[in-house]
Amino acid sequence: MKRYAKLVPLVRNPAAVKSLRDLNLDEAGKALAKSLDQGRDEGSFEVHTVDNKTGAAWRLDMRSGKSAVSKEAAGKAHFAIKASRATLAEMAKGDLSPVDAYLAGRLEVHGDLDFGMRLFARLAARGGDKEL
Amino acid sequence: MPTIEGAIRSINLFETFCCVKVLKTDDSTQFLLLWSYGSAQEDNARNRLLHGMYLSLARDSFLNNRTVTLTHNDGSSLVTSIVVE
Repeated sequence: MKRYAKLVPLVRNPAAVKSLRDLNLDEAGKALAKSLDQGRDEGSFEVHTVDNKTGAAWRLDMRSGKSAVSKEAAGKAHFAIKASRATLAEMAKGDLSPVDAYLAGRLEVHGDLDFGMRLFARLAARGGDKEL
Repeated sequence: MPTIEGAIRSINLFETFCCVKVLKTDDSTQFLLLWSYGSAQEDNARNRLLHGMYLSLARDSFLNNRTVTLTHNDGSSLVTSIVVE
């Protein structure tokens, strides 16, 4: 079986996130934006939670090497994922690879997959498995 | 349970999983899993037959540009049913 790369932790102290209540998705979104700053990719990435029927948990817009996070879904995103808060928490802590989450039936994937895979590749944890 | 309607634009078959790219009627795309074996263990005969039929229907949609309706659970890409019209 292949092992897929996990993401760098997007929360300040992953060990302190014991339950979903401890996970701040906004903090994870801002950390994601910071990690993706200075990149060449331009586009939008949305994260939706299963329990949020009204729209995105947050949206990341990347323009000219600068990323911005908002809590509004603004039309069609280039790439979007949807999962439960538990799955997003595991990914944000760096405990679960997005590919493993997808293959386990715990993640929806919408839009431009190549764009999404480039984003995840830039967020892949160093020293671990490289394949996404 | 979410239902999506569109046409199959690609079928990707790997050793342990099979996924399809669906071009939806609103021109957006979604990647759905027809099956995925979470471990190296072989799946049972019933599921293997079911997966073969899933693949057959997906191939029909792909080759003949027929509209396909797929259902999956919210927050999951695993397909639970396929209807080809």
